[in-house]
Amino acid sequence: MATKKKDWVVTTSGDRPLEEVANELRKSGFKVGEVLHEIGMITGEGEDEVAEKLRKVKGVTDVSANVGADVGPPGSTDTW
Amino acid sequence: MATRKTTRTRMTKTAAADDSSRTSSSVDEMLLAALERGDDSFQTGRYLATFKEGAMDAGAKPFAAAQGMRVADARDFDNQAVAMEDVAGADAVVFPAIGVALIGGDAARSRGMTAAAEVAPDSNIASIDPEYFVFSNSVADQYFRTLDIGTGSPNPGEYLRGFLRAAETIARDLGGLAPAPASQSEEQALALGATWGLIACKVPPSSLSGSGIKVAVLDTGLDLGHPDFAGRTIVSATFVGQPVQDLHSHGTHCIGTSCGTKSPAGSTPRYGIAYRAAIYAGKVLSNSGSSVGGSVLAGMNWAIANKCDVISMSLGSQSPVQPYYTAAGQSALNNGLLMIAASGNAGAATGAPANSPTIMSVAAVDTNLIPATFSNFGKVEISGPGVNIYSSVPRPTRYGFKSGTSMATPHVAGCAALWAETAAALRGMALWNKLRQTAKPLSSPASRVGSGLVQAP
Repeated sequence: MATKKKDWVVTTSGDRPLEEVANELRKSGFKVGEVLHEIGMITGEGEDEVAEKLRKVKGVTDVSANVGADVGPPGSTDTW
Repeated sequence: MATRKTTRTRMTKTAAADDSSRTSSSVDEMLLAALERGDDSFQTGRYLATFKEGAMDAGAKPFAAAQGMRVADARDFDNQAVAMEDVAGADAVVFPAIGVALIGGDAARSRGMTAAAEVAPDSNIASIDPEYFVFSNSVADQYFRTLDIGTGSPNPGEYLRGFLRAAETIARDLGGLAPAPASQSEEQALALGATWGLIACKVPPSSLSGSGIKVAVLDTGLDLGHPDFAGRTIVSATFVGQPVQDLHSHGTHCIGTSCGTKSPAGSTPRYGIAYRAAIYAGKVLSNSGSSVGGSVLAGMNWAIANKCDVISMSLGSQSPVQPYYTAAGQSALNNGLLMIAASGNAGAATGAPANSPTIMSVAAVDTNLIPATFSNFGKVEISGPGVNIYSSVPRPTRYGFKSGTSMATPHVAGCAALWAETAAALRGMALWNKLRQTAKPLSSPASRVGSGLVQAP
């Protein structure tokens, strides 16, 4: 059974056009969120199995689960 | 994820047909509406009707019939715990246990049941009063204090202060509130005309303003209508599907420290550093204070695309080094830009993204220049003031105190903008090195405070 979908960040080497890499990720079943040209990354959603496939795509240097960020609830005097 | 980019204009008032003060309205909806109509009154737009003793024993039905209202009764909910979002469609919600009914703004106004109306002597209602927003104690206290300062008019906060004191006392009795923090630093700030943080960083004597420098602050947005930011160059974008308007307060506080005005109105002390820098407010955290999908990376990408010389990030997660943050930091450096991030407040190893080697990590010190107990350690490049920091918060409160490496970071970002202004060559890694070389050495180990306390040129 497929695992639950997660947010992933795909980092690329810059050797291939980013859109070309994004298209290949889509074909692997990755739901592309944003293609970030300045930092050469593609964000999106997919199961663990999909992420494993993405690691084999040419031009991909890293696939990591997005850890997210926060600063605590509104109005709190203590923050991140 | 949709990205919405806006250049700054004051938020325009939307159609009055959109009644934001329904019984089921969320606090966020009502706050946004109050800000849009420029309302500093603290009122939500809804009303509270207090019934005469015994008048509600018969329940909601007679009241509903008399007023021709659709009424929800708290007794219809388990333990009378009314979930406000579940009363959509009701004109009023009655709380028989306390003899009070909450009436939606439109429903009350159309029946003449507002606070200004005379209550008929034979009515079973004793009084009708506006409902007020309730804020956390420290910011509300600060708001009432600012009402006392410099206004010749009778203090409109008197009643509210009494109400708040009562609410605080009850909350404290229930064990929900910590004792109020000492306000010694605030008195100091008022006497010296600037916050302790700015003084410690030698900002007031500096002749620099951050003119010509772009500072991106990736956070919860900004109160775009805050009077202290009137006339400033502000470029904003949201990456979380909510308007840039800050309903959290963290973003407005951080932008206040890094880029706030040199001369706030009245006797408010100076709290902002790069007062002529161009402000790039990227909303990468929602109004609840969390990132949405890849919003932080989308914000970093936007800041680099806009060539923001300084990119300030008072955010993070307690996690190991993330390769993507390291790559993003490298992209910034390659473009001659500098990313600065808060080490975190877990009293543990520096979190991400500050733990990436390409991103400058900031620890927090207190007024004695001792590392704050909460301040993360290990990978730390530099320190900034991060305890009891006074800065801007969204209207109607306007100013407030916060603590955290989140507050230390914009001190470094603001000073970085001043240094960048001194020489076109001071960008990226050169700026990183300059900040470290000019920091004031501290007695604590480098793993706690890095090179020391950031100093303005």
